[in-house]
Amino acid sequence: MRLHHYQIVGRKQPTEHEAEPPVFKMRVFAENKVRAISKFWYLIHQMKKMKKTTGEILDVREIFEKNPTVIENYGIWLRYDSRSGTHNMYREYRDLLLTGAVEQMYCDMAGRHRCRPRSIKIIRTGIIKPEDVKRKNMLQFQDPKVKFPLAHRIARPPNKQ
Amino acid sequence: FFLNMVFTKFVEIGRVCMINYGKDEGRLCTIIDIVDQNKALVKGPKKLMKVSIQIIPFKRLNLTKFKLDIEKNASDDDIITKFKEGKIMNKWMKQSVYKKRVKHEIKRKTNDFGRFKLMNAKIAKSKLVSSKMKKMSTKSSVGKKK
Repeated sequence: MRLHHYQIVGRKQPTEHEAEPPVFKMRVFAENKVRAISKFWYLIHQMKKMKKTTGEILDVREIFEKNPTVIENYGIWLRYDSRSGTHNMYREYRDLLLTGAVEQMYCDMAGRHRCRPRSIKIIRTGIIKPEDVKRKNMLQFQDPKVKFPLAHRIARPPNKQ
Repeated sequence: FFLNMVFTKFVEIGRVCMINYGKDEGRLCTIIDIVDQNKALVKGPKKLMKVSIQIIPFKRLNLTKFKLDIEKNASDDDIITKFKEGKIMNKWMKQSVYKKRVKHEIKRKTNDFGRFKLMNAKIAKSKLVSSKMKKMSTKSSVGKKK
């Protein structure tokens, strides 16, 4: 399903003891706003003493790609649970959109590490400059003059019928 | 033995391709960036080819022998001028690939009356051919008898 990138701002509800609780902002990838808020509470509950019943969401905004017609190199730092432990990982993907790269990441992790989306937590994402790209497969396509032939072409019918 | 087989059509920025699957089937587009070994960012500028900017897998592309000299993420106007300079459309319409597609389209769209006319034309043609053949064979047999 198409992922969206949301920025969610929330805090604990103000009480007599704490009139101005600290406000926290989190960026979350989710299919829709409802799931985004849910993920926000799940993640922030793990990190801060805040939960949905005693907290309030101040703002939910969708973040759109600055340049959706230019392919960028995205680096994703993530933490995932494998069968025998939990590990950190850094992965790189080329895509038009950050959400596209994150979708690629979920599919890639599922394929290569049998890792379900529930076991993956995205720590950080960012656009990587061509000089800083690390993965060999990505480095191949940083050269603007890259070219390759399409070997072993198979004729396909032009539609599903 | 294909030891010396040389590749002539490359996936590269500026390569003109024909889309062979989906709603833009049959239309030309240019590769303006390559995502990875399976996908490219493509646009036949929308004004020119009605193909909007999109990521498309190479499975859905047929590379043509035409290549434009453009930069990565070239603008629509850039591509259109290069297209016109190279007279790509004219050259493309002379390609057998294009002509075959047009032929197939026409045949697919003929109705029953069209097919009837085609059948009659085929019969008339084969009659002409066979009568000529007969004449030639009787001539040669006359010659042989001598």
